[in-house]
Amino acid sequence: MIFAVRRRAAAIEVGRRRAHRGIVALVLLILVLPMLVPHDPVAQDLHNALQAPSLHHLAGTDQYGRDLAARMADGARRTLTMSLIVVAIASLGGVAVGLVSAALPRLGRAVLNRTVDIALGIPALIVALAIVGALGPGQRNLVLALILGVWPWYARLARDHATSVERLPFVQAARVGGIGHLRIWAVHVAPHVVRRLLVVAALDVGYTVVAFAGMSYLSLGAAPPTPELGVILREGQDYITDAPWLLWMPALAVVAIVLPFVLTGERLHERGVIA
Amino acid sequence: MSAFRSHPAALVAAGLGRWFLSTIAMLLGASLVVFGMQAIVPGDPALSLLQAGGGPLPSPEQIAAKRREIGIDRPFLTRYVDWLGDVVHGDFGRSWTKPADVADLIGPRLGTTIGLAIAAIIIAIALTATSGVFAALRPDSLTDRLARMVVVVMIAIPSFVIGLLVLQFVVVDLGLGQVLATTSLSGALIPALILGAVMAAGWSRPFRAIMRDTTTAPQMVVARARGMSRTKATLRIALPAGLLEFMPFIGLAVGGALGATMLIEVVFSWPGAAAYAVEAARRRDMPVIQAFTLVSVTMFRLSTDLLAAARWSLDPRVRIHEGTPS
Repeated sequence: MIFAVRRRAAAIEVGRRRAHRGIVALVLLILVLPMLVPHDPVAQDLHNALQAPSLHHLAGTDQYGRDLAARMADGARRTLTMSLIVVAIASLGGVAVGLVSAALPRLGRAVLNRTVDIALGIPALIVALAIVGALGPGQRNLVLALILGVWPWYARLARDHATSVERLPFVQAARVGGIGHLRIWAVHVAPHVVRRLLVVAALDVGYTVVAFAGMSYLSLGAAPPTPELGVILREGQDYITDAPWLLWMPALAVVAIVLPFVLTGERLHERGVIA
Repeated sequence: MSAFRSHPAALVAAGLGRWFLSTIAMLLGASLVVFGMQAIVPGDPALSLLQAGGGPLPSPEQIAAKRREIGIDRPFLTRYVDWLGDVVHGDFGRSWTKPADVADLIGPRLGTTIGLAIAAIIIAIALTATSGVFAALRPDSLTDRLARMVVVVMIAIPSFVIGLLVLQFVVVDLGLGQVLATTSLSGALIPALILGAVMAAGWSRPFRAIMRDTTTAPQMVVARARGMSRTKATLRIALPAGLLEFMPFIGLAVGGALGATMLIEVVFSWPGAAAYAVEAARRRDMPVIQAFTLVSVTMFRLSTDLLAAARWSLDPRVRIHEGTPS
C-alpha cells in the first residue's frame, strides 16, 4: 500500500518534470526562432507582394511583400514574451494578495476578500477592454490591462488553496504543537500554495497568449506594422480570397504555441496533479 | 427564534436580503472602479479627442470648451456622484465622440450581444450534455477518446481564429458569402455555434467528471437493480442530476462568454454592443466603455446568482447540505 502511494507520487513527480520539459523547450524554441529566419519582419518588398509560400519565402509574403515566416517568428516571440510577463506579474501579485489575506486577522481578511470578489465580478477581458480604452491601445497598455484583468483569479485561487491547506493534519499538528500563526503561515502554508500556483500559472501562459493575440486582433494591442500574431491575423483577414496563407499560417502558429500548454494541462489533470 | 429561522420562507427572505445588499455593494464597488478609469487617463482627454481626427493644434479655449462639454472640468467625486445618480435612472451620459446618448448607442445593440451569448450557451449545454452522456455510458470508448481529443484541440484554438477560418472556408472555398449575412438564420447560427463549441470544450472536463460520479450514485444502482437499462438510467437519472450539479459552472462561464462574444462579433462584423465597445475603446470613448462594463458586470452577477438560486430551489441536496445561498 505505502509502496503504491510512493510509486504514484514518484510518477506524478516525473510527469510534472517531463511536462515542464516540453513547455520549456517550446518557449526556448520560440525565443530563438526569429534569429533563424533569414528575412527582416518589417522590410517591405512591393514587387514580391502576396507571394504564395515557396522555398525562398517559406510562409509566403503579405500585401507589402514582407516575409510572413519572419513576421510570424518575430510575432510569436513578441506574443509569448508579453504573455509570460503578464502571467509572471499577475500571478506574483495575485498570489501575494491571496496569501497575505490568509495571514491577516479576520477584519483585514474580509476587506481583502471583498476587494478580490468585486474584481472577480468584472470578466477579465472586459477589464482589459476598459483599461485599454482609458489608457489608449498599445502593447504596453495591453500588458498592464491583462495583468489587472487576471490577478484576482490568482488571489482567489491562492486564498482558497491556503484555506484548504490550513485544514490539513500537518498544519493542525503544528498548531497543536504551539507554533505561532505567522510561522505556520510562512513555513507550512505559503510554500504549499506557491508551489501549486506555479503549475497553474505556467499552464495559464497558453490562455494568455490567446487573450493577448485576441486583443491585438481587435486593434487594442500592438499596432501595425509591429509583428504580433493577432495583428498579423487582423491584416491577413483582408486578403482571405487572394492570399489564404496569410490567415492559415498565423492561425497554425497560435495553435502550435497554445496546444502544448493545453496538452500538458490535460495530462496533469488526468494524473491528479492539479484539480 | 431558531424555529422561526429555519422556516423556509424566512430562510429565503434572509437569503434574498443578503443577496440584495451584497449585490448593491458589489455594483457600487465595480462602478467606482469603472468610473475611476477616467481618473487614470493619461494626458488631457479633451486634447486627445480634439486631435483624434488630425488637424491643427486646438486653442486653449477650444480645449476648455471640450472639457466642459464632456464634463471633465469638475472634481472627480462630484462627477462620480452625478454619474451614478444618472445611471440609476438609466442615463449613461453622452458619448465623447458621437453626438448621441450612450444609452441610445449601446441599448439597441445589446439585444444582439445577449442573444448571441444565450444561443451559444444553449448550444454549449447541448454539446456538453451529449459528450457527458457518452463519457458515462462508454468510458474510454473510441467515441469518448475522440471527443476528448476534439476538446483538447478546440481549447487550443482561440474562438476568433476558428471564426476566421470558418469565414475563409465559407466565403472563399464555398463561395457562400450570403450565408453569413447577419440577417439570415445561418448567419446568426454560425457565430453562435462557434462560441458554443468553444465554451463546451472548456466545460467538457468538469462535466464528464460529474457524470462519471453520478453513474455510481445510489439512485443509479437502485434503478439498474430494478431493471432500468443503462442508457435509460443515464439519460433519466444521471443526466438531470449531473446538469443540476453543473449549473454553477454555466453562470461562471457567462463572464468568459462576454469576452469571447466581443471577438466573435468583430470577426463576423456583427452590430452588437460588445463590438461597439471595442470600437469605443479604440476611440477612447470613456462613457460608452463605462456603460458597457457596468452592463456586463450586472449581467455576469445576475447570471451567476440566478443559476445558483435556481439550483438551490431545484436541488434538495444543496438546500440540506449548504443552507441558503449568500
